[in-house]
Order: sequence, then C-alpha cells, then structure tokens
Amino acid sequence: MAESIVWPPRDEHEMATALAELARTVVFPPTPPIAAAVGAQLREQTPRGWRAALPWSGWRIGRSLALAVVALLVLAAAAVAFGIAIGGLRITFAPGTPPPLPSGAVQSRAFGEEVGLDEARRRAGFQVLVPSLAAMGQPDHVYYNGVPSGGTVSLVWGPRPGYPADANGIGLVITEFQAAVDPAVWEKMLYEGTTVTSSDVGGHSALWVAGGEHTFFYRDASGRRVDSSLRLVGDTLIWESGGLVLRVEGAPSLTAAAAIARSLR
Amino acid sequence: MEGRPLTDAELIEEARRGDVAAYEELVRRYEELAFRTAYLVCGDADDARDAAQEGFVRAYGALNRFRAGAEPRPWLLRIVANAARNRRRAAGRRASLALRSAQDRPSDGAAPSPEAAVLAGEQRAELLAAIDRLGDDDRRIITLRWFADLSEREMAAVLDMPPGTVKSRLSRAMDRLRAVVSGGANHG
Repeated sequence: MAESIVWPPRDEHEMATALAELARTVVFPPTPPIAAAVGAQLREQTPRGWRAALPWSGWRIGRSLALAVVALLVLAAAAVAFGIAIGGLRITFAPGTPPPLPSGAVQSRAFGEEVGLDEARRRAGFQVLVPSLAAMGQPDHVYYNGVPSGGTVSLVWGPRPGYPADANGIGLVITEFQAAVDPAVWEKMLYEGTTVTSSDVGGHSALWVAGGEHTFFYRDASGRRVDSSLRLVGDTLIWESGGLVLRVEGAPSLTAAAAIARSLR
Repeated sequence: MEGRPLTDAELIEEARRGDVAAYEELVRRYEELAFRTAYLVCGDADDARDAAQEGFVRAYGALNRFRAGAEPRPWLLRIVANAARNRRRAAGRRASLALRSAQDRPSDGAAPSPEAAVLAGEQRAELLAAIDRLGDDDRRIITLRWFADLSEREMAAVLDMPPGTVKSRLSRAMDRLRAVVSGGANHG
C-alpha cells in the first residue's frame, strides 16, 4: 500500500512519497531498439586496415600510428625479399588490439568442413603435404574449405609434448592453399606488439609472425570479411613453396616451426 | 540447465569471447534503463538513443577492463551517461524534459478523495512542472533518483561524483523542489 499523499509536501519525507507516487505514472519517450542497433554495429565493425593508419587520415600521429608505420616498413622490406611469394595471402597491419571475435569464430568450423586426410587430398586442387616428424604423427583433424580456388586444407593437432594446447585445445595447425593472384584472399591482420621476421624454409623466403595477436580470415572477392573463417591465431611461420602457400601455427619457436616446415612431404 | 537464462556475468564472459549475440542480450536487459538515464542526463530523446548506443558499443570495446564479479549496471550506466553528457555539452542548450504523467485528471472531473493513495492529476502535473522549473543539476538528480530509480551508487556513477555528495545534493534539491511546489501551491 502506498502512503497517503500530503499536498503540498511539508518535508523531505512527504516530498519523497509524492515523487514515488508520481514516478509510478510518469511516461518516458519510448525506448528505441538499442540492443539491435548495437548488435548490428558490432557485427559490421571490421578491424581497421592499415589504410586507416596512413598519415592523411588525420593529423594526430600517435603511438599506434608510429608502430603501424614501423611495421609497414618491416613488412615492405619483407615483401621485397618475398616478391610475390605470398600470392593469395595478404598481410595487413592494424593499430591497437584485435576486436573480440564473433561467436563461433574459434570453433572448428572456422577451418571448414572436417574430412579425412584422404578426402582432403581428393578435394584439394594441389598435393597436400604432411609433416614427416615422428613426434607429430598424423593430424588429429583434417578440414577442407572451398576457398580460394583449389581450396584450403587445415591439418590440426591437439596438444603434443612441446606444443601445449591454446585456449581452444589446439596444439598445432598447418594450413595449405594455392598461391593465386585473386581478389579473394586469405588475410592476416597484425596488431600492435606483433613482430615480423624474415626467415627461410628450404631455400624459400618465409615470414615468422610472432609476439602479438593476429587474426587470420578469408576475404571474398568483394572485399567482405567472411566472419566464419576468422580466427585469432598464435605465432605463425608462412612461406610459399611450389605454388602453395603454407602456414605453420602454434609452434613454440621459429626453430620448431622451421623444423616442421622442412619435414613436410 | 535447459532454458535457464544466462546471468549477466555469464553473458559478459561470452561477450568477452566475442559473442556479439550474448552482448546484445545483455544490452537488451539494460537498454531501457540506459536510454532513460541518458534522456534524463541530456534531455533529448534522439541524443539519448545515440548516447546509449555509443555507450554500449564503447563498453563492448572495454569489456576486458570490466572487473569480473562486479555489478554491470553502474559500469554500463557510467559509460552511457558520459556519452550523454558529451552530447548535452555539444548541444549547448537546456532541454525541457517532455515527461508527462500517464494518469491525467479523470475526464468526468471527479476529484479523488484526499485519503486516496494516489496523487491527483492536477498535483502530478504541478509536481512535474515544478521539477522542470528547477536548475539542471537539481532536476537531473531528482529525476535520476525517482524516475530512473537509480541507487545512490548508480547515481554517483552517472553523475561522476562521490556517493556522499550525491546524498547531500539530492537532499538540497528536494528542499528546493519543495519550496517551488509550496510557492505554486500557495497560489492554487
């Protein structure tokens, strides 16, 4: 039961009673569908590409921009050494830290459809390579994804000695796809704190991307990021060999990654 | 487990992992409160909508800084209120709140009995008008407390002041409101 209203209120308590009574009937403007708008905005947001960090995008050159420029220079130098050796894989740099990944992005479907190694070999438009290191054994899971042309095959191992599980229970991932000049590409986006080191795998130039967080995702021919392919990835060695772009992800060091890379048959 | 709605803490944890749908659900729980709070802070419904949306998007980006186990309400309200305050400053005008009372005077003109535990339509209109005549700070603190039903801690977050200051300012604002009402009532 509400208290009787004394009007006009004679003290703070009576005023509080009157206000509480008024509050029961006060009408606000209708609440707009804010949650839906927020969800839509968050889903639209893509990591800011390196273009956003170029000097003409603003006068304020902050730490992020300086880091981005340094990284671009490193990448440019690496790209010179690399030539067109990473066709089909675009590497970009974004300031700041990566945005949270959409739901399910870290689940297995980010790799594509799970198939056996034999099936992956049948479907892929290239010869699928598997490491011959005895310690690794056969991959625990093999996935096939139909993009880009020729497909992408991901070999996934659970934790192994020296290859601890990441947050998703994954120890090591090897990804293989055909190098191609194609507007649809796999894209690796690097963020602050990530270093890129030039390396070598069996005489082929390679890049060791390590330290910070980076994302690996597929961008279709219209430039749209395909979210279901987006994953936050660990330290990665990338190189091209025989028209194939290869990535070893999750190795604890460049030396370990290079050893796996050299063992691919 | 089946059918149990996720707690705020669980939704925040999911959102931290990048689940936008989980965050959307969290926003849905607080969108009305956030919109009303923003409206009372900036005094314009369009600005309030934009401020709430901007605040929630910012909060998503800051989820990693949200202390696990803490109450999300004051945290979200603080971020939304900041956005609303910025909009109010940018607009540089004093908005008149378009609040009204749903129960206007009955059409048959029958006056409720003095004992009835309801405020007569005329008195509600008078009280609303008196609130609107108050200075911005007084009006804001009173409406946040009574119309948005914020706790002192939440008001402290929204108004960016210590809880003790909220208490004393609210008390003074109530005194001034009473003076305005009494002045009006003397003429009535």
